[in-house]
Amino acid sequence: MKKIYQVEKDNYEDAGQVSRDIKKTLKILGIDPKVLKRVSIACYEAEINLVIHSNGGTILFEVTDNGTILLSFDDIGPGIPNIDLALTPGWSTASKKAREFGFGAGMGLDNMKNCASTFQIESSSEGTHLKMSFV
Amino acid sequence: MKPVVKNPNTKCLHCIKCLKSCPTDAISIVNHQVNVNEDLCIYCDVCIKECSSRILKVENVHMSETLSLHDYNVALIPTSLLSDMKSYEEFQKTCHAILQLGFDEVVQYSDIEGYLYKRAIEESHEKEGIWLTSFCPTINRLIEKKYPTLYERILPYDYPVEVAARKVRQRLINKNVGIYSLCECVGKMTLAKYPFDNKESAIDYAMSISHIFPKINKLKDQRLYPIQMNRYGVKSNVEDLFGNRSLSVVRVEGLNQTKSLLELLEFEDIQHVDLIAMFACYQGCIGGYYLWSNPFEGCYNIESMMDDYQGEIAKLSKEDYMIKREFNTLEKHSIQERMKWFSMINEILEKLPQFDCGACGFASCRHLAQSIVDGNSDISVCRVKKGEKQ
Repeated sequence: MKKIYQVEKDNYEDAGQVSRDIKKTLKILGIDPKVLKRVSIACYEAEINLVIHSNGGTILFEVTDNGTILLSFDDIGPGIPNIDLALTPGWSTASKKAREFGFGAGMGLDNMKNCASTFQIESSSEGTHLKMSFV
Repeated sequence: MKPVVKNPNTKCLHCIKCLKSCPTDAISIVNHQVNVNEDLCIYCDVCIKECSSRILKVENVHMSETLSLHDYNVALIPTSLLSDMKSYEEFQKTCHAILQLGFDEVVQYSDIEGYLYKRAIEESHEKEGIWLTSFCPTINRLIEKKYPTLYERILPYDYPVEVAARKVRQRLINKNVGIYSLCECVGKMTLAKYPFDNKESAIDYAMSISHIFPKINKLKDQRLYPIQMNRYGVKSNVEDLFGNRSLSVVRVEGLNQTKSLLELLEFEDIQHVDLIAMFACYQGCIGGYYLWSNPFEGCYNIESMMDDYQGEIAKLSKEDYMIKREFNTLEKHSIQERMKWFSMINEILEKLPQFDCGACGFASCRHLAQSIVDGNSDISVCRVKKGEKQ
C-alpha cells in the first residue's frame, strides 16, 4: 500500500496535515501503538522540516506486505550543507518565522534517527532524500 | 443496559445529526433505526444533544423498585451540583430534599476530588514526561479508542466517585448498602454499569440529576442538610486544574479542542508542561448535560460561594485511589488481513460518490464502504447512485 503527498514550502497553516493523515491510516490498520508512536513523531518532525527548510517536496508513505512502514521525504533543495552538524541535538538553522510558530528547536533529525528502525539521509544542493523504516 | 437507548415512542426523523456529530463515528442508521456501536461509543452526550426527534437518551434507574432492596441507601452527590445553586443554603436544602427521596445518607466527595486533584498535580511534577488527568470517563474512553499511543500517560487514578463509593462501603461494612450515584453527565451515568477498567464498580445505581429533580423540588422545604464541601475540591473545578501556569498545568475543554490537543501530543509537539487536565464538557463537570445552568454561569455560581466551603480535604492512601489500567486492544487481525480489508474498502470507495452526504445512514462514504466489506450493507443503499441511474 502506497500513498504520495505533496508538501508546500512555508505553508505553516497546513504543516502536520500529512502526518495526521498517515497516523489516521495506521490507526485504521491497527498498528501497534508503540510503533505508531515512533512513526508519528518521526513523520511529523520530517514533515515540519520540509515546510520550514526545503523548497517543497514529496512524502512517500508505504506499508509493505510484511507490515514494515516506509517513509521517504524528497525535496527539491536547497540541501543540508553539513549533515553531521544537522544531526547534532540543538543545532538549528530555522528562520525567525519558523521559531515564532514554535518550530525549529534543533532536535528534529536526531529525534527521527532515534525513532526509526533504519535511517538514511543524503543531501546535495539539488535536494535532500531521507528514508526511514519502522518495524 | 446500553449506553444510549432509544425512546420507543418516537420515530427517527433521519436528520442524520447524530451521524455527523459523533466524535468516534459510532453511529449508523438503518431502516430508521439508530445503531450505536458499543465498541466505539465513548459515552459523550453529543448525539443525545443533537437528536432532532429526541429519540436518544440514557436509561435511568427506577428508585421505587430498588430502594427496598437494601437496608441502607446512600446518595453520592457531585460537586458540580453546586453550579446550579444560587446560594449555599439552597444547596443544603436540596441535599435535604434528596434525603427525603428515601435515602439514609447523602454523601459529597469534593474532599476526595480535592485530594486527587492535588495529588495529580504533585505526581505529574515529580515524574518524568507529560501526564493526562483521568477524571473524565469520556476522555479516557476517547484516548483508549482513538489515541492508543497516549494511553500509558493517563494517571492511574480511579474516578473520585468510585473512590467515594468504596469509602462508604468500608465505613458501612456490616450493612447491606445500596449506593446511588447522582450524575451530571452521560459518561458518569454509564460508569456504574460500564466501569472503565475498574473491573467492578462500587456504585450500584446511576441516575441523572435531571431525572430526579422534579421529585426533589416537590420535597424541598426549610430544612438544611449539614453538608460540608471541601474548598480545594471545589476550587480545582474552577482554578487549579483549569490552567495554572505556575503549576505547569494546561487545561482543555470540549471534545474538539481535546482531540486537537491529543493529536499534537501524539506528535510530541507539546513537551514543556507536566499535566494536561482534559474535560469533555466546557468548564469541566459543571458543563455536564444533566445540569441546567449554562456552564459559564455555573462557574460564577460556584465561585461566588467560595467562602462557604469549609470541609477538610480527604486523607487517602495509594490503595484507595490507584488503579492498574490495562489497554484493551480491539485488534485481533494480522496486519496482512487488515491491509487487505483496507484496500477492499478503498476499492468500493472509488465506486461511491464521496459526497459524504449521510443519506445512506452512514457517517461518510468510507463508513458505508467499510460496512459493505464487513458484509453488513449493500451498495444499493447509496441514494446518490440510485439517483444517477434514474
